[in-house]
Amino acid sequence: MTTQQMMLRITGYTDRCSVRPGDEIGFHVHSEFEEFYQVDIVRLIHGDTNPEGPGFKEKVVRTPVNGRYRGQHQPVHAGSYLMVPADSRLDVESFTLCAYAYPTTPTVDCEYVPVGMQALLTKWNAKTDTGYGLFINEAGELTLRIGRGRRRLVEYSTRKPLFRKVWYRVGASYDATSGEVRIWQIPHVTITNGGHGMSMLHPHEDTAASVRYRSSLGPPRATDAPFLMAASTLVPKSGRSVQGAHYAQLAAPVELPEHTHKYNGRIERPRVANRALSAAEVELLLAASSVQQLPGELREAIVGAWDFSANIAENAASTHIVDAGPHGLHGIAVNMPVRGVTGFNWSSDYMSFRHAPQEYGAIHFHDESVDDARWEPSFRLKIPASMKSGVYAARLRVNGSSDPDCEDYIPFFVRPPADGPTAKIAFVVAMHSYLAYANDNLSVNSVIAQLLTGQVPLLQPGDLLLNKERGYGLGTYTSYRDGWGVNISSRLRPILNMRPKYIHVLSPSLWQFNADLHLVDWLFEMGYDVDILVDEDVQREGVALLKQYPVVLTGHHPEYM
Amino acid sequence: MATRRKTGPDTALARDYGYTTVDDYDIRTYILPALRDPVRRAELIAEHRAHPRGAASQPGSPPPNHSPDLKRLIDRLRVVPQAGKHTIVETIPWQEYAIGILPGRRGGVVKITRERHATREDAEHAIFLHRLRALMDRYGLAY
Repeated sequence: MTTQQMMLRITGYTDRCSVRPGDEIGFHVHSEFEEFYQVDIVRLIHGDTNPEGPGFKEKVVRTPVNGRYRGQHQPVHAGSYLMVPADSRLDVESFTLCAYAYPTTPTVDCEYVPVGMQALLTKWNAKTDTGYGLFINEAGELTLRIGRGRRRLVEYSTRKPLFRKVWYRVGASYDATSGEVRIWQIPHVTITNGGHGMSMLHPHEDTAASVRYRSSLGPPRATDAPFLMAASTLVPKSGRSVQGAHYAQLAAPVELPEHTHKYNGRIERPRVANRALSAAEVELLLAASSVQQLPGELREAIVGAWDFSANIAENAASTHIVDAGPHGLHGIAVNMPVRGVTGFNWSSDYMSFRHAPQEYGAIHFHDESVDDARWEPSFRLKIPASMKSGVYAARLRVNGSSDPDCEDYIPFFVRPPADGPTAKIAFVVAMHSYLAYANDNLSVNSVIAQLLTGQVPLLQPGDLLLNKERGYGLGTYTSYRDGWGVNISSRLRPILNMRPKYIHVLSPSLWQFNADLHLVDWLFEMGYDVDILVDEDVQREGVALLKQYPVVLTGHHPEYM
Repeated sequence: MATRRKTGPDTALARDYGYTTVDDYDIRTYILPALRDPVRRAELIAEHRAHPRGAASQPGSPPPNHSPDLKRLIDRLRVVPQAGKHTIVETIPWQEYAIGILPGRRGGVVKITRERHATREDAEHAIFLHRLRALMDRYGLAY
């Protein structure tokens, strides 16, 4: 592939956005070509480089972190999935894998680009071809893989394509004694579950399939890969782990894999059994909303039976995935897949997962989701007591160069000390709005962008990096490649349209953060003392925070404050 | 295992016949008459050259909006597939702007051509002329 010219070659993010003197803030930096870079902490006054205005203004602040660093290449492992940590009970010989599935890119995405192999339920090491897994192949057919390592694998498909936006009962079984393989995909179309259009355009026979094969390879070899849903394992241990924050349920850090074969679409009621179940048993297993309803001999065969509706009424953003089966093999949701979405049994009688969680038992996965880039920290700054409240940034320059493709700014906001205001005016930074508009891809991926804005978009080096990185998780004014709107936006990844010097597609010049620096500059030049707060602070501490000030200002577009 | 590619039947629906026919009718009815007349065409180009991206209102005079004929023309010129669509790349801020070509797919490479302009307005106007020429070629009109 040709290398992108003019692309930004350094970027990063902070672990927090609002700090007080005495607090510590961590910076995570990625260098595209692992080059040395110069760090300087700067106070940002004015971010607009337009020569018809006052021009760019920054002041370098001397801090212990200013200096030269060796760049580290840090990729983002985008794409949401569920992970059940490796457990020997999942290393089965005979097995049945089944679920409901609703693929949204069975073959191609909304730009007609082939998506490639996608994984549904896998304990599969894609580097060594070891384990087993239920996939969707390049032609959109449900496929079972059994692997014994060293490229010894077999693959069996239904030989019929899955259709986009149709619910299916999908599954496969393998009997280690007889070598018999069964694989099936049965459309499950009701009048309300969403797949009506395709079901009217195509006869049932075009997509329904149940096929038998005989395998002489033998059972899958055990692997140290975790059991994944909506992905398979490229590397079992990535060196990145989760714990705390939105993974509060985890008592100890859990190391994540590097994943591949990322799936776009929904999954519901995934089940793993340790023998080849009969068709009637599979019907029972998938129809039962609770494992307790099943007869004893079927229950005993269950290795895992995850209930995605179990804990959504309390918190649909929970990353805890309940296994209702006998072994409690609970899972972890990575990169925030969308929970509380309508399932195969949605009746249209309810409009909220809080009222009928049993009809919202699906999870929607997207291969571009990012909740946290999880990069290694590059340096940490302790905010000096002398640092005035203001808008600051770590200025990164590859080999000290200020060329546009060599320079990035990672902004952060310094509040007044905890003992009270230092000014009569508070300026509340609209971080929530910056997040909502983060990393949009209108300039390169929206066919109506030029009509919408009345001009040809301008691409800067940061836009070119964002395009290459598929938006680093995008923002809520964009869509995933399966056409669904983006519903989460994280500040734990580079937000390249929240930068000084940035020119936004939505306006003739500036928007959000860089436009707000106009106000910062005006206050600075007029000699007003101002305390900088972030709306996240107001959310956490309440209105009392604002009551300390006779004057509270917002920026130019505080839409989600 | 070999994978099978499904190719759809060649139908009017697959060819987007409804859209292309209406689009052709609209161009012939509402846009080509102005382009066929060399004087009117030169006026539209001059009007675009004066304010490629519109302009701010000035005290005492009405906003310098584009004329209805120019608006219709620009809107149609912007309706082109994303793959191969022109864009502007800032190569030296406020000094040099390159014409770029969009890949039409996420993660693809934006091609940066050797064509450079001194201002964003110049680049916008150059893209307008490229697209205008392509439209006129399509209808066999001499530029």
